[in-house]
Amino acid sequence: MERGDRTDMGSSIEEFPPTHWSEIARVRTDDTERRRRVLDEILSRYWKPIYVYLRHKGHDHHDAMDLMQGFFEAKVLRRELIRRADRTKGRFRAFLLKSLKRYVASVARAKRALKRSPREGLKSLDDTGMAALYEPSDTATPDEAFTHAWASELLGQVLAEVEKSCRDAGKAIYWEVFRARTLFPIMENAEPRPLSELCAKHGISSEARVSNMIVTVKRRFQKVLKRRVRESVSSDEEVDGEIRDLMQSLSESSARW
Amino acid sequence: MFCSEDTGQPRRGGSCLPRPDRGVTTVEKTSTFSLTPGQLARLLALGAEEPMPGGKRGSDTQLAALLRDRLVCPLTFEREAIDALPPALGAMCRELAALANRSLGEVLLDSRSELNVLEAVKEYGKRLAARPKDGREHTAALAIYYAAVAGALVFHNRRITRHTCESLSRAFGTLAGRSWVPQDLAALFAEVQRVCQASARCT
Repeated sequence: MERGDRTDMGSSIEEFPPTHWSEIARVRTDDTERRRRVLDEILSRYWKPIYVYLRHKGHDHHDAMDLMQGFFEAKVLRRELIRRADRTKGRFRAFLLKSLKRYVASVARAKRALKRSPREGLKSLDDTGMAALYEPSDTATPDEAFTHAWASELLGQVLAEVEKSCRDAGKAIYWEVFRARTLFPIMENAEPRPLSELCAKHGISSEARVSNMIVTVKRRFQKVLKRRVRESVSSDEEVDGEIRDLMQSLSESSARW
Repeated sequence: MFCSEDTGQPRRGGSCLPRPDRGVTTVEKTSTFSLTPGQLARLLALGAEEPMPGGKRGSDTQLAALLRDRLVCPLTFEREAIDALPPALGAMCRELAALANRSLGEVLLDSRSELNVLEAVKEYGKRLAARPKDGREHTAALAIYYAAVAGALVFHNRRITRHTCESLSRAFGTLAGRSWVPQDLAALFAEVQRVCQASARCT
């Protein structure tokens, strides 16, 4: 590796974890096919919280779809988000929401319906289930809905990755006991499976071994969560703060849901 | 605002969320989109625990470890603590001692924990805090005490202590911000602080 490739901290630029900022910057390419692929990835990653926010702002399903497509067309395809990304940094979640609000306000000011036909043809979202998934609740504000969808997407991705890593490593049992003992009680508001039951079900010799399996997966979960959150902030130091902010926001909305 | 997933009837400790139309399901295997904000917060708390460096943080690390040890232990009360309780609660605690499959932490964070169980845990924490031990033991015991009070407020809409809402709100806010409190417990303290501040459910 050439000396110039290493940063002041001694690590290679290639070793930096990918971030939402760097993904946005990847749009800046003359390779049309690659550009389209990156845009599809970006759309896949961000459409849910954006769509939910728009629905909670009072837009019906079709208007929300139009606005969302328009937002990506205006802000991403036309590189405005990229230009701002170079200057602003910080937490991508907050930046994305702020950009979206500005865009929605600008559309409202212009008072024109948006029916965008993106030049490269953005990936067509399968919207057959979207309206049913994201009906506005009576109490959530648009910002709360955005945060809720963002956190849902984040945790869904984290859990999927952790599960896959367990299964790929031949440790499916680790995932199953973690899910039964730790996830299930949270996600289903249910009783945790007794350790003795898990031992019997999976042929594990002792409850201590089950506990160790759970701790192993939990640590993996923590690591993956922090890595994924790191993708949406500018520095390692911001990771814990971003998680705490998400928890705080969710707890606040939980008190009123 | 609070309703069962199936019947739409009020459900204690739960929340209504926009539910996917049961005829249109595009959710993943471990779907998180039907989770309430509170559930999402608890998942985040699960993933947010981190080791602390030395110094003052080292002391917090020890306290965090002590509290975690207490919380993961099975719900069996020490004989001495049981015998020190009023007779009625003491009998209850001996019954609770049979709940060997549940850890203290699980009981405190489970919305289905019975009110009398949380009351017994509160008394347990109170007695532990009163015993002549070091500061860390005392602090960990207080955290358990307040966690039981928090659970009663959040899950049962009942205040099981004579502390005022204002006093509880301050205590919960303090505990929610302490680095040695496990994140899932911190989320509970943050949530109940909101409840106390609203005062709507402090009865």
